[in-house]
Amino acid sequence: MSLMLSSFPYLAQASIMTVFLSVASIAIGLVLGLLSAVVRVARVPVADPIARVYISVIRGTPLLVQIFIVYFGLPQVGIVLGPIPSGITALSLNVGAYLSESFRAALESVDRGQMDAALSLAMTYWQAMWRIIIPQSFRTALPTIGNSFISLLKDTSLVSVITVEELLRAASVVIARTYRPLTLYVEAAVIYWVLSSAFSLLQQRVERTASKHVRR
Amino acid sequence: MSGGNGVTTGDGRGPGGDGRPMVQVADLHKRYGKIEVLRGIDLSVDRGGVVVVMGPSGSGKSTLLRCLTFLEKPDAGQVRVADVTIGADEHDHELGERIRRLRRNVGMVFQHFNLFPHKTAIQNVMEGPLVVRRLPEPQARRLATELLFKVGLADRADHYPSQLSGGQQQRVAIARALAMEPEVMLYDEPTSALDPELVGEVLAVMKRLAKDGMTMVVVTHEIGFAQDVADRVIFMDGGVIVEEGEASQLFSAAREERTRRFLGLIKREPGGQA
Repeated sequence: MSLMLSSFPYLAQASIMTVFLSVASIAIGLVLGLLSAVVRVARVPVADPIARVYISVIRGTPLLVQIFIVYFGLPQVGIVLGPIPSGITALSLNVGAYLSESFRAALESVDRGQMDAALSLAMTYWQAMWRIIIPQSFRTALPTIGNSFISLLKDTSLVSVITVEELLRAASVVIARTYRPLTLYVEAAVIYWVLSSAFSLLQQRVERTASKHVRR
Repeated sequence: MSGGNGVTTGDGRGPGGDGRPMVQVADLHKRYGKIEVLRGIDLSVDRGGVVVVMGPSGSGKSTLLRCLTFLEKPDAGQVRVADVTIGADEHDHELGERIRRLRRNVGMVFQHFNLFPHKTAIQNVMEGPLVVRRLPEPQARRLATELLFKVGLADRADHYPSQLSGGQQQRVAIARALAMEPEVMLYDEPTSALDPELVGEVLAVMKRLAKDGMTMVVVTHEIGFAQDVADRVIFMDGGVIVEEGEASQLFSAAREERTRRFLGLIKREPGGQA
């Protein structure tokens, strides 16, 4: 118990890195996901097949392999990224592909009449997409975005293997010195759990605000 | 664009004021797979004219309206609204631009309103002026306020569509279409999704617009509205215009058996709603 207390400041500090990795990756992932979903829904030539391959490759391979390719593989072709940028790159690419699928479903679920109405106002297709369709799809996608974020928060533990000093890595460091794996891993698990729960609460708040005016 | 004060349109000025009909459709064809929905429609609507289109479901009425603004691409034929003519066979790189020019002259009102649910009533009305006409914000707001007042919803400006009744939503939708200051208004069964007690308020707004000289094509089964407002009633069936004439003539003494049978059916419904 005293070890839990004495190691807590160290682990808490490392969990800031965990949150940072999650927030940075979800931000980039949202952009990637939205872009790749929109080019698919709009059937943009060239971009659509690229998006399709991206999603298929990411969803069809383990995240750990993706992290290794970015961190150990890319230097071989001259792209050298440090552990943190590598981690963020792999995590954003990964979450982006999953978000893309939720965005696509959300975009397609927007009533067809919305596009009709926007086009009838003489908007261009992209004006209609940007101003009318995408904002509404965000609302639909919000629950899945929240879920993706919580998965992501836990997936960041995988980048401990490329020496990023996040929560799991910090726990392992303490274990190496104290030989008390149960204590430390449980402590790490509790911190992950508290973080996910906090973000779940936040997610519920946001969803309630966002859906205030929409009848479904 | 029409020169008016921003609210009254169809005022006899602007493009199309050259004596030609405001809307002209020639030999319009549309098919979905094997089904021919439109089989050669010819139609012309004079400036300030009000044409009511009736016919059983599947007769092609809605498709006709959608083809008029190229929401559906017709397979053959030609459409002209005001000074923009587009043929079904065109596909040059400027086509999109020309379709948008045509649409700027046409206000469309849908059966299910299709208001933007994430925007308030006034934001819905301001959307076209801001994004397409690129009016400055204060001017767009002033125009939208006037239009909401005109449809009797000045006090609902900041309500979201979900907070409005069906009749109110449809009136906002009419205001939204008018905000583009169109030469022509198209209505696709504007009252058929409404509870009976809400139909009147929407029809009243449409009647007032017609009296102000707006050119209108209205797909509806509201016989009373057709009798009061329409210069001409068109009866469609099977993708063709079966019969057309003045409302009084068509309703009392239709030449075609098909027309008589259909009118007999809708008259039996309370309120003439089919």
